[in-house]
Amino acid sequence: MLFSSINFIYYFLPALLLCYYISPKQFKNYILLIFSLVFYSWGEPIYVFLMIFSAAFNYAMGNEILTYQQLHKNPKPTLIFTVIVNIFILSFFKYYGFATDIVNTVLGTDFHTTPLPLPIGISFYTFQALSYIFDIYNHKVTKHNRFIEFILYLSLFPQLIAGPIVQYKDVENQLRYRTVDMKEFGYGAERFIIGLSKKVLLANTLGSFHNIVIKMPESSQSTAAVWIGIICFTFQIYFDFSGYSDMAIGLGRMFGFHFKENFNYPYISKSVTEFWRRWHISLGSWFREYLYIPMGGNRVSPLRHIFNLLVVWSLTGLWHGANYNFILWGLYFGILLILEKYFLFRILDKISNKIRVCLTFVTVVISWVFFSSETATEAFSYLGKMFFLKGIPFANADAHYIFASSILIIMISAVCSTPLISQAFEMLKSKKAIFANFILLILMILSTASLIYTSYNPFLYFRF
Amino acid sequence: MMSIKSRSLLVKAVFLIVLAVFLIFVYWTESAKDVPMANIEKKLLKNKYVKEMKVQTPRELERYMQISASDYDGFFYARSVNNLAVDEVLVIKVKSREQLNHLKDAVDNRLKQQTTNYQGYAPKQVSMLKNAKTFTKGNYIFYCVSKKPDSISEDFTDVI
Repeated sequence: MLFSSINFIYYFLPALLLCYYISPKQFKNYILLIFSLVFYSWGEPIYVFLMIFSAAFNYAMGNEILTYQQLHKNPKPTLIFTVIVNIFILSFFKYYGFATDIVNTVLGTDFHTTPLPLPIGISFYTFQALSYIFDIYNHKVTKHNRFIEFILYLSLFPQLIAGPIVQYKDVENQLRYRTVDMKEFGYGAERFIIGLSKKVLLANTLGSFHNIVIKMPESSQSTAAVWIGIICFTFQIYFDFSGYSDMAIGLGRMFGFHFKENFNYPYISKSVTEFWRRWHISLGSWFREYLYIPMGGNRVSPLRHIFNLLVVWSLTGLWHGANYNFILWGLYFGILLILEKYFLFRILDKISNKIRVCLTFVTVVISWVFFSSETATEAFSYLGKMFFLKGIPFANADAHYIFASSILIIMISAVCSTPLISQAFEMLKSKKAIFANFILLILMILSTASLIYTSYNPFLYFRF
Repeated sequence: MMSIKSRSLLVKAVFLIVLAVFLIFVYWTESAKDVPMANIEKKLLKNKYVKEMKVQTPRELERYMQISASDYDGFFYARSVNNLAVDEVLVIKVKSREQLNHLKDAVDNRLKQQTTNYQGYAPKQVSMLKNAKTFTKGNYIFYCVSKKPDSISEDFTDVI
């Protein structure tokens, strides 16, 4: 089930809120768990068992590590076993087709694989389970927990399909004791409506323009059109992903959970390094805490530091999808970060902030070509068209049409991806709360109308 | 009484067995043979309920289902020629499983649209739409609205 669907907004959520708020305190976690499992099983019921297995397995292994630590025995073999099983499950569904392709390419073999549907959110909940295991091993989680709390942590529906990746130590107390007052609930509802509007009104509209460009026949394509297409995708992925995070954070608040922010206006960044401090913050934190720092981080020789960055960024790319284009996307950022750290910052510091923001934006736009393409070949072909290497005209009648149709939404998106709108809204809330609430009501009505009357509601996270 | 080490080994073995059984089950139920669309079409056209329908062109697939045939490895789409009938069967072979999500949405939209069209004056058709059969297997998506959708889906699963 998607947050941006009529079924979720008008049936599932009200039913859950009703059951949750009328039930006694000791049953609230059970209500949330049951609804979370129903939410997850909506699309692929069979995979709910995989999630329950993952919860039971990681919970048992976590308890075993804790027991070993209390008895002063070595828990490392259990840690390694748990990590291997988790990575194996993730690889079985996500990477084995890709691994077979690599074997066939390298060895010239002809192994066939039958692709399986990817369990939605498997990358998110596997990383959450691993963070729990690592935190126990590193003595950051020290108490035996109840199974209901752990399975709820993994399956909690707000962050289940598109994050943010929540770390157990951050919500450990909230899983046991939490309260919600009207102010918190109101803030949650506000964040949900803002997230829904970002997804439905901005991201879906931008996505339809990107879709028009990628479906254009070769004869209609032009450099201007492919640039417009990828700029639309640049804003689409931001509003889609940050919209989902807003909805997740808002829904969490409605049930008393405080999730950390996942986006912080990434498109106003003055460098790629800053961009990654503002984009998908929970994934960056996960890789930094559980991979980059244990590998030595930057407290090693420059050569080893470069190696660490390349490994972390290849894996970040691979996490997003089992394809060469995602690895290239990760490496692209890895190389840029290395260049910035060792060379570019000295030059960038002499340039004005506005130019730096523009340069970073263009660099990020180029990266999304790898992300939005099905294959690496397709990505390079698209890049060729953007940089006059494919012999297509600079502009034509189709480019003019797509420019005229999309320029308004692109301009609105550009403004909305800065803190300006949010600051104006906060000011309005403090001065004329009734107008702010009226705006939220209008956004909700427009989003609902859009969900009812338009059929284009893509789901970008099926690969994650 | 078992030592901690033996208990730990036993627990791990049980988890591994459960996981193996689950993965084998998933692989068995979700996977499909790589069969050319022509074989699927041949088999489906032998079904008496499909015989009553008319095989559709890529243009009609785009018109009725909003699906562009050129994006996929192959398709079979047949629908009833009677204007008041809702019978139709669609099988699409995708290039990658990621395309299945888009197709599921297209099928959902078609079902919603058809239900809206017939709601209120054609209860028999609405009931058939409610019993529509949609599923994915391997690289295929199957969608069918018919008096006997199970008979058609069985013919399809027999081939793959």
